[in-house]
Parts: sequence; structure tokens; C-alpha cells
Amino acid sequence: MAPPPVAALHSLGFPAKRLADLAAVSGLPLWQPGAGTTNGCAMLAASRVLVLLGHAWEDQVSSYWTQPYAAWIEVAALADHSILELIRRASDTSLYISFTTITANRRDLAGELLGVIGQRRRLTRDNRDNIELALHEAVSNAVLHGNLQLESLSGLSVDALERFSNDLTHRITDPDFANRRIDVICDLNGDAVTIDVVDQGNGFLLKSRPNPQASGRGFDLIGASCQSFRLLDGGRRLSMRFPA
Amino acid sequence: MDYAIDIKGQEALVRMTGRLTFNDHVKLRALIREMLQNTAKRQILDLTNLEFVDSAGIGMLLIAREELSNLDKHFILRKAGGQVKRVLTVAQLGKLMTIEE
Repeated sequence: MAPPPVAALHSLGFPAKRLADLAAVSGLPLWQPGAGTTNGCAMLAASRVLVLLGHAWEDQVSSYWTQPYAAWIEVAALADHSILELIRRASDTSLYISFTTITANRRDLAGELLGVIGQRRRLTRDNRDNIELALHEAVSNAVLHGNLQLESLSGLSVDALERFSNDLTHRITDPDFANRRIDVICDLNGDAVTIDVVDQGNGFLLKSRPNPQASGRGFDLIGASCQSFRLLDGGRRLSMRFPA
Repeated sequence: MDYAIDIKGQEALVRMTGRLTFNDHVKLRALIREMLQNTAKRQILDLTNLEFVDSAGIGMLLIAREELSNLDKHFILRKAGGQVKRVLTVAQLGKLMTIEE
């Protein structure tokens, strides 16, 4: 069963005029907390509200990881046509997050999404631990090796760790890398929980690493935590399935 | 992640709390340097109150083991529970370093 489409828009730190224009083009009403929508469709909107995150939103967002919010799009440098495309994508799934790389690297996305899933599905402790670990590993991979295109840490030394840290600092301060998108797409409508993590890097081929050193265990942990996973789109999309 | 070190003779007990992920790389480097510099031959990492570790955290623990081994110091993980114990098991860390209950 397909999820109900996104029913309304809301925003944090986003210009009112631009929000109104996007609402008009997308055909979606604006969500007013406590008052429903601008077209009076309170019940419908209560199920699925998309929030656009503009400026200075990070300190306020904690109260938005809850129903009726179901999609969170960090606007950053996105043009209106790109925002409209992401709104369309959000309509196709239960929960949708689209952040820049620098934000995904800074926040605990796995913990935040897990909290939202837990409001909609009853999860056992094992299920929670498995989803959190696999999602955390998937987002880390998408950030570090996907969008930031960092090579795996080589060598078992503090110096190697410091070099990797310096490379990370260098890349994450380069807007060409930092503004790449990380999308997390979660479907709760079948007999399982499926979560896809999508990056905009060069892709990735999963290779067997018989003797991993300081890195190379992420996919082992993902494989042990989910029912199954697939790498799609040349490795830019990791799709994971968990028992409900 | 936070830690506290208690040194008694030839044994250093490091109590680690919170979550150990790649974002802790600066603190982990500082911890490794402290363990390298103190005089204890046995460096015990008490994981009782560590709530979460990821693959990068495992990698950093292996770096600590390697650096300490280069100075003939023994690095021991102790009292992992819950998610941390499960990750250590899946990563087969017991084949690479000493893990105590």
C-alpha cells in the first residue's frame, strides 16, 4: 500500500513569500501547527507534513522529529525546481530526509530517524539496535566515502588517523563537496521496514576484504544488522530491509 | 564519548562512557597519547558504560592496540555489554585483541 501523499508544507527559517510560491506551484497547502492547513484540511494534513529547513533551524528542529511531520528537506543552496523535485520524491515514501553532507556529518541522523520510526512502528530492542547501527554505518559511508570521496583509512597508527581527519576537515569545508546531498528514504508500508541511503558520489563497488584493518567493517555490520541489503545506482544507493 | 584514567602501578584503567564513533577521533587520539605516555604496562579499557560503538570506533580501538603494542604495552577491552558487545563479536575483535568479561 502506498503511503498517503505529502499533504501540506511547513518551514523553519525560510522566507514566507518563497514558501507561499512553492506551495502554490506544488499545489500543497501550508500547515499551521494547532490550526490545520490554509485550506482547512486538518485531518488529511495531520498525517503527512513536509518541513523545509532554511536558516538557523538546527536548534529548533528537535520538536519537528514527530508526527505529523514526515519529510525534512534542508534547503541550503537548492533552487526552487530542485526543491519541487524533492517534494515529489518525498510524496512517494513514508519518511524522507534530504540533508547536505555537512549537516548529515554533524547530526545523529540515525538516532533521529529511529525516533520517528518508533512513533509509527512498535520496535523490539533488537530491531531498534539493528536499524540504528545499519543506518549509522550507511550514512557514514555515504558522507565519508560517497560524497566526500575520502579513501579508507590506511595503516594502524595515530598518524594515519590524523591524516584521515585532516582530509575530512579539508573536504567538508569545500562547498563543492559539503553541499552534495544525502537522502534517506524510509518505507513503513509493507511487512518490513526498508531504508535507502542515497549519496551523490562516484559510486562504490563492494569488495571482499578478508583482513580489514582500521576500516572496512562497515558493510559487515550492516549485513549483520539487516535482513538483506542491495547496492544500487552504481553504489550510490544502499537499500536495506529490516523485519518489522 | 568521554573517558577517565585511573593509574595504579603497572595498570591503567580507562573508563569510557557515551558513544564511540568517528566523530570522537580527536578525543581518541588524545586518549591513545595518554596511554602511550603513562608508565603502566597494562592498559584496560572498561566499556561498562559505553552505549554505542560503530565500525570507525572499532578501527580506532585497533589503532590503540597497535600503537600500545609497539611500546610493549598490553591493551585489554573489558566488560562490554549490549550493542557494544554485539559489535565486538560481529567484527570478530576477539581474534585480534584481548577481550575480558
